[in-house]
Amino acid sequence: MAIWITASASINNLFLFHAFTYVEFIFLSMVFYQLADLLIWKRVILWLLLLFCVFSIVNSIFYESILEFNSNQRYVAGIMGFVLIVGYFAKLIRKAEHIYLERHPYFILAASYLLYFSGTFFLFLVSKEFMGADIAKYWSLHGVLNIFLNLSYIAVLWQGRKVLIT
Amino acid sequence: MAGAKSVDYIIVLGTAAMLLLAMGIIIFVIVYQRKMFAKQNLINQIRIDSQQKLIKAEIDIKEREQKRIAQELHDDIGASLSSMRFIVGKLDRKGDGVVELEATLSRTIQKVRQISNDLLPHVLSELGIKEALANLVVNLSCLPLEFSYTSDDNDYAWIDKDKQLALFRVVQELINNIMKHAEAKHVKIDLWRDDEKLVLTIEDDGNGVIPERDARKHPLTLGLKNIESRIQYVGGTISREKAPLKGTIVTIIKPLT
Repeated sequence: MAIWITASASINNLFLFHAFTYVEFIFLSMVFYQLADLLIWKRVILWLLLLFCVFSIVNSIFYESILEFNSNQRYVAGIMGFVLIVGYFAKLIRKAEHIYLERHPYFILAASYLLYFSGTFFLFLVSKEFMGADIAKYWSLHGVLNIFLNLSYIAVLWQGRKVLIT
Repeated sequence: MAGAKSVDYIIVLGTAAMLLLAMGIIIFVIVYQRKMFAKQNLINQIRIDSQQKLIKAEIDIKEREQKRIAQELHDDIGASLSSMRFIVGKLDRKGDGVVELEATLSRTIQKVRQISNDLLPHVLSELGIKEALANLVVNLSCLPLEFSYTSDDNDYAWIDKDKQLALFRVVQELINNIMKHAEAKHVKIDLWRDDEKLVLTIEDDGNGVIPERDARKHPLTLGLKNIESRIQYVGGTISREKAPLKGTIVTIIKPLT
């Protein structure tokens, strides 16, 4: 809605993407915090979250203002997200609690984010260096991955509902 | 133009490589986790099997010992007491003392038979659990506690004798607990077949104490431990619930397949 209004009024709405990145990373951190079983790993997650917030604030003050594209923030979110997901995968391997992981809602969420972060990682890494007139076509790749991520939410909620019922 | 092409290559190849790496990690986690799960299941199964073997060995030893004592009581002491009663009966002078002695001997023989039967329920080994429970209820009729027993028309004598004995012991122990703790007036025992399961319920109208629910007041006693291990041995389940009005219902379910 906010995107639609700002776009209709021809207002720079990149600040929404900054806000979205915060919300997305905090949400992910909280999900993996709840899933973590080791106290030390829970602490690592909280430190990562703090580090991410500090970095994002510093980045938006000194490097990429909230009206610029936040590739640094996305890039760091991708790396930290990768760490969170790998930590979760390590727990899954260690515990071996589910035989059909591919049907487990949290695994679907983690795998989808891993694919999304991996697919967009290179894009955010080089976006600044190659930002030119023809760069728009690369963002279609981001669009595809974003649609995939949003579709995976449906799978997560669907499977989650099944788990709740059973 | 050539520069734009190389940018295309870098981004496309880089992204493809990263996606492949991510998919590799995901597939590795799924496959490795499944293997781990199977391995863990196997270890658990081995642990359960060895635990079952231990329980079976323990129950076997206990039953063998009880059988030995029962036989000694029945064949040795019982026979000696019967001989004594026979000799006393043959005595010429039938004064008050002799009559009393004969009556005491008869009562003692009866008690020895009862203990021997409790230790080794002959009805169970000959006719099966259905009749053994009926016999148990008849034997308990002398207690200040009212018993009722119902069973269906199915025959359960084909079930492994050791397992029938284990179920019988559980019922004995539960009745023992009711007498000790429940302050009940009536005990109802039901045995029936539900699909592929044998269901045995023991219901009382006592104070509804469920020992496992209040572990501080009622620590897991030897009797309760015995019940648990025997249920585990028969491969069944046991649940204790408060009865709708008053008392407790204990339900034992044993798969018949």
